[in-house]
Amino acid sequence: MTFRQFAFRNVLRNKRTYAAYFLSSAFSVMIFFVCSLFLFHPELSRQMFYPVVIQAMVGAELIMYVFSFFFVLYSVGAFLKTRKREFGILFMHGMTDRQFNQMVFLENMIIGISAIATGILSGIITGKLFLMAGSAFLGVPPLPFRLSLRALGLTIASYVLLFIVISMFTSRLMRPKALIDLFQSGQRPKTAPKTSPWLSVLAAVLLIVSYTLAATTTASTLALRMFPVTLMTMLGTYLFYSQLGVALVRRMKNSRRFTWKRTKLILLSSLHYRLKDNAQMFAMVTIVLAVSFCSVGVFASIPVLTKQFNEDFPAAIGYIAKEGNTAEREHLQTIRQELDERKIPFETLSFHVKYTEANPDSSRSEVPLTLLSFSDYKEAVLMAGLPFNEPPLEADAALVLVASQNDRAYIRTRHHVSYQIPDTDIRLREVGYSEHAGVPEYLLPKLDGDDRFGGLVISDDMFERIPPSRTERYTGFYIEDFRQTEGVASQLAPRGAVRYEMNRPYALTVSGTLFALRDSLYNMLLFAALLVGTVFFIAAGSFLYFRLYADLDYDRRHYATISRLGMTDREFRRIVTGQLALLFFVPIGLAITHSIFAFIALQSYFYLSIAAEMGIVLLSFLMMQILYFYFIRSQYLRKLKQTLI
Amino acid sequence: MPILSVKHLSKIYEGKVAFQALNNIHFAVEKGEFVGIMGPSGSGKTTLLNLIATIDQPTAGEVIIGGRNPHLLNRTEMALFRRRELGFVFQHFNLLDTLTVEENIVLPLTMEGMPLVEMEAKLKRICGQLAIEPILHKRTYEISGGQMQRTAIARALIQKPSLILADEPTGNLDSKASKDVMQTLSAASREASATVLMVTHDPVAASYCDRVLFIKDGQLYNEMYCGDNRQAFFQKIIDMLALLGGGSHDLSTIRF
Repeated sequence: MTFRQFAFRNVLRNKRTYAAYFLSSAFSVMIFFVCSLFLFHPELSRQMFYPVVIQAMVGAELIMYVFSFFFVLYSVGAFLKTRKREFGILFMHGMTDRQFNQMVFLENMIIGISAIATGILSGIITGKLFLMAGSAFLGVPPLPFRLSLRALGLTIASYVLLFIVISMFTSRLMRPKALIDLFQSGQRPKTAPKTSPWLSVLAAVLLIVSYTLAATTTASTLALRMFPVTLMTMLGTYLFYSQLGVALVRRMKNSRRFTWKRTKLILLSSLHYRLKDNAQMFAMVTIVLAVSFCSVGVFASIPVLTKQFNEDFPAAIGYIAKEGNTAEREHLQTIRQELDERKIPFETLSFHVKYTEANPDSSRSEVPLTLLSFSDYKEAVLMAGLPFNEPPLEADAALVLVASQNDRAYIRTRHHVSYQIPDTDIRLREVGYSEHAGVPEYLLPKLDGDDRFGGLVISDDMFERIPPSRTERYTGFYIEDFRQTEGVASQLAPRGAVRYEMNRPYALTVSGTLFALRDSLYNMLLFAALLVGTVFFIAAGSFLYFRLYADLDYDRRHYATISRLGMTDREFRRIVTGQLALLFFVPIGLAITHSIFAFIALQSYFYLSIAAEMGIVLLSFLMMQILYFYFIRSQYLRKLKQTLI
Repeated sequence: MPILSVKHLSKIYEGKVAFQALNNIHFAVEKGEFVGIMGPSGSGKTTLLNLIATIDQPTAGEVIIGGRNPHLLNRTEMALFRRRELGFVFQHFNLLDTLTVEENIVLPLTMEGMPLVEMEAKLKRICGQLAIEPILHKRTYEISGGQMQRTAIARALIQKPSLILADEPTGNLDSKASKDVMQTLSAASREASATVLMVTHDPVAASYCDRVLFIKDGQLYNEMYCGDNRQAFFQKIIDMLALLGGGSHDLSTIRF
């Protein structure tokens, strides 16, 4: 037996312990590889939305890589801890530190390299499936499978590097101080966990404050609160398990009336006994699960935005001819021609948009105002086929145009302003917000630097009286189904829109092109988030699996003892199921609670409800966890039963 | 009527080479008796105890405890039988280290779903008997080996089982703790008029019995009664062990 064979056999014969870790690593490698397949796909790189693919996939790969690093580091450390006795024997027989490092390094590399090989192989086998799924998400015809060497190289190089770095790290970390520590580890009975009431209170306070902050978030405070709330929740979660949880279980345990009842005594004391040991793992699983839920949830909710697309872009094609635009006629003619060529019937509407300078009451400096007359606004809404029931405006009343329906979330934080038009006695008074966007987003300059709101709608009478600083012409093309306009006027607006702020003589939006682009972006992000979320979810499962199997020998002795004293199979199943259920469903329960509050905060950003999407995301994760629970339970019961009488 | 009767019990371990561990063992234990089983290593003592404890199934013969044959029960009934009719004391104590001393003691009662008041009353009585009140709230790793074994004895006695089975109860203890535990066991069993069957290597422990059975190569070899003089009984046990071989002195069976 050579040294290399020895290391190899160590791994092979510990396969039960290493199984979940190996599979989880291999799965990360596989997903990483699949992402790079997208990244380096020769046909995808010619598509219009390729930059979107790059964004989504590079992001996914980075997150997965960083996560894999910590996952592997933690797992390897945990495995080595369970093998202390074995190392003790080796050291006693004269293994040098150098040899020990070499052995740990070799073992890690064996697992790492086989995980890479397995991951890439399964990536190659399933790659076509993922490409098909990805192209379905993107709405393009199924992509052929191309094994790009760059994808292969990137995956192998990054994971080999990861395993080498970690293998070098861990063997150094593990070096024992005294031999006796190695032999006594595991035998030494564990002391009862200690808690401090202050830290328990802190855990409760942290969680309550984070939840309250999350629940009261508005669109404008979302960005500000996100980071501190996340940090507080993470710390709160850890303390929740290590302090509050232990204290709660202890309270329960101290009540004999509650505890001394059938199998509850065994269940509760094991829970109490292991909770502190497991606090770190519980907290980690909870956080990893919550991150997984939130990332999938966020990207599952974004497509909600496309539901209101028609509201934000009432005209299928919108055109603003800016002052001094000489090519207006020519441009409009091109669009008409293209629509005719595609045999798309359309109606057009044109009206003038006035600009003026005005003094808001709050400041002395003049601000530019964009003005629409009420009847033009009404006609634009009706042309778009949207219901119109806003009452006509009073003399000096003005409605603020919302740039898009989603920006309504910001109305709460904005105050009404009144304006004085200089050199006249005309005053304008904001009285409310328009129900519709009127003209497509991007076509009008923003109101006073706030890009959530467009111009003002004022009464026809007032519109006539106000002397404009300049006047521009809006032309809208209204079509039954705006999706048909994908690719129209691609010469004028290659990516579907020329914004007003761009220095062009015109502004233009083509709804079909914009919609297709957005749709593919959102779907690609969702696809990437699903991949990453699954990797996280499986890693969390692997933590649980490892925790369970590290304690298997102890549990075997434990249950063998009880069974000698007389334990029926039903009682045995009840105890084990109870323990496993706690292990599996407490972290996911807390993770779901975290996610619900995160989603409440996220909802503040959206105009439409995202409850249905979030419900589906959380329910499907919960279903997967339940399946996993039943699978592991049957395996675990079978394993333990072997030692029962 | 005897509380335990073992009738023509045989056990053969099947395998590549079949091995007869017990051969036609036949004996009975009366209520309130304290019986020891001795014999050299590999003689089948522990197999016998396992068969009586329903942990193992006999190949032939039967075990009757309190008029019932536990081997005819199904798994669940057998588990309940162990819980209600048998008490166990093991060499390695087999206490659950997640539980405190008192929780370990009441565990069989809790599993039965006994009302709390009743459990506490029983706990109180047994603790008075065994003098373990001061350690009731301690965890198993905070107490000595002797205290652990006394805890295990309390756990075995609390249900008032028909039969207490002890497997090398002094095997892991020093001589002082051994003496302490044996005194406790014999006193407690006398007080509760409990029947005890104890497997042991230790002649000192065996000398506390009313009667000692000797097994050799799976067969009953001899039987000895204590009589009035414990010292003489101890000497007789030593002599018998010397004759049997193995035992504590590992003397040759052939004496010239």
